Amino acid sequence: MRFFLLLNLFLFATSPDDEKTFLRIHWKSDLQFGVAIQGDPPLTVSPDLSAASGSASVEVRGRPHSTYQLILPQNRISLHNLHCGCGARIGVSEFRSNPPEGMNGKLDGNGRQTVSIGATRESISMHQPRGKYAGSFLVTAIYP
Amino acid sequence: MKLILYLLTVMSLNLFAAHEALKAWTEVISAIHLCKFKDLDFGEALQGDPAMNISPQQGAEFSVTGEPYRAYQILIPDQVTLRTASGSGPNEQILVNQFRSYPEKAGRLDCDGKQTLRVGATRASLLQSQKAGAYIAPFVVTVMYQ
Repeated sequence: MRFFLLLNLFLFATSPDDEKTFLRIHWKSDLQFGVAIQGDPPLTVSPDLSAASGSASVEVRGRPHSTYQLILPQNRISLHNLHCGCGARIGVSEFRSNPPEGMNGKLDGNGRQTVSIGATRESISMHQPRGKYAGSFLVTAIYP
Repeated sequence: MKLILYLLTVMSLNLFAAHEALKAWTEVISAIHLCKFKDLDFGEALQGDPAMNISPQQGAEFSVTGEPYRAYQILIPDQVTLRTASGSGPNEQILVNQFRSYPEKAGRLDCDGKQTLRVGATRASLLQSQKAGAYIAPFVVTVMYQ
């Protein structure tokens, strides 16, 4: 118990100039699949840093030059229709990132790295209700 | 005391991991459809008749349906050849060109997601030796969202 107390005191006593020592993720943009027409085939947004690609992006901040592990959703998520209240969904899966998921993150000299995230939207049925669809997914970064 | 230690430990572990919830978005719109109401019909003509023009207002008629207020592009052919019998000789063929549409090149669906599209064209003059009969050719009209 003393150990935990000391550990906590140490961690919280550390000068949080030290924002830089803590790992943080800052939102930059969401994942945009754009407009889909009923009957459209699946669409893959690649994890491209260009704004036009539609990929999501975050900035990971922490200790300069440190490495970290990036974790993306492993399962399919659902986008829900925001208007119809009919429970209509569209699946999104196969999340990919740049740098790739795993122990591939490396912060620069300022303790920052931009990560872009893409995924695949499933095909749209001819009877898919019209409207805007949205869903959430979690991105995690961990120091080894 | 234990609770405080637990909370402090969880908070400290959070210094080594970070999470961010992002959103994914898409918008689904209606597919665009084209339904023919009326063919392009040049009617009866005599051998040696001059060229005949049919304006879009008098020509083929289609209903375009899709997403309300969306603009769409219209593609019509440059020309087609009407044929009768085997259609092998010049006197068994009639050229139709100068296809025009209304609206021209692009349209916009109304608040119900509908618009009427009309297509006209010009039939070439007929030969004195033009073979009698019905001359037919299919032509393709394409609409796509802009």
